[in-house]
Amino acid sequence: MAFQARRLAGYVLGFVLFYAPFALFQKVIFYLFSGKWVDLTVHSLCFRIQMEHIFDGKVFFMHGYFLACFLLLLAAAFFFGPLFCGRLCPAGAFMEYLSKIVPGRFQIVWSRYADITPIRYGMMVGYMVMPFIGATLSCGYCNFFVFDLFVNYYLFGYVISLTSSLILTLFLWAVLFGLFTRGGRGYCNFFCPVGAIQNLVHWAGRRLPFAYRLTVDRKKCVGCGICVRNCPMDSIHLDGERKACQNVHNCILCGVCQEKCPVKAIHYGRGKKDDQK
Amino acid sequence: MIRSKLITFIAAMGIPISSVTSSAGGCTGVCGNCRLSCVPGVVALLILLVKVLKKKAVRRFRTGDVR
Repeated sequence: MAFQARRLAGYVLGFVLFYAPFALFQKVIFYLFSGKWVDLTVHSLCFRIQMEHIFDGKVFFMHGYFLACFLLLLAAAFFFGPLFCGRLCPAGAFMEYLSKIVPGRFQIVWSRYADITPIRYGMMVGYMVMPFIGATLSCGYCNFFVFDLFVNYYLFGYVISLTSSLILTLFLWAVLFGLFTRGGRGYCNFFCPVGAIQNLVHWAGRRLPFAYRLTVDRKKCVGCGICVRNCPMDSIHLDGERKACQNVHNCILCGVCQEKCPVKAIHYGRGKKDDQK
Repeated sequence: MIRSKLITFIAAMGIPISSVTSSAGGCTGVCGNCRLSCVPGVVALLILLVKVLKKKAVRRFRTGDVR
């Protein structure tokens, strides 16, 4: 129970840090760079814009504020893993909590039918090569932005003009990959390039002895499958020996598996050797 | 296996890239005023959907799993 409360508190903190009307994270970083305290939204932070310009190098010529936010995200992912997704991002968490109202028999377990990793990284690379062909993707396809509009509409009366891209994103994020997906995080799994780049950076960083990572103690694991059923990202499976195996390419380190494991075989920390196969 | 992953990867890459044809085709984000310029993105989605459905059908055929 304490874990659930802590987890929820983390997402509320994430909302206060990144979303209007608070957006304290952006405001503080912007203040450090410009000396001005201005109203910002999650749209003003946009990790996707920086991502789109990694390959063409434009990211290094952006305003220091943008670059600092992005480098902080990548550094955190390198040393600690994609904690932004698992512990702070309210857009993903919102659908995860909302998906609990739909009975499990109506929900799709995508990992049974689709290979998540190539889709996740394919979308990410697609974003990154777009500047080379002279294009950028509409913000209407971003679930952060849609969530921001949604919340501001209901809380603060902001008027939304629903374009086809917003309607499509709302349908994919909230309905198909939200309510009708086990765990509610289908959009995070397939369409979020910010999550994908964090996983990629974490995959590289977790090899270092001082970096944090999730490990499964294969000797302790009893193969009960509780972690598999409870993982909101569908990132754990049982291998041939019925031992839990984490997919580092879509695990968001939310800590649910660690909490639910009856024999405490899953650890998050540093210094331990990865004892997975 | 690798080939299948590569096809999936390329199809997924095609989803955001397809917005190039959409914007060049006059897509303003309001459905109905274009000339189906979003078709490449839809095709990419269909490829992924067919792969999912095929896998589901094979699974059902082999194991009798109806979930």
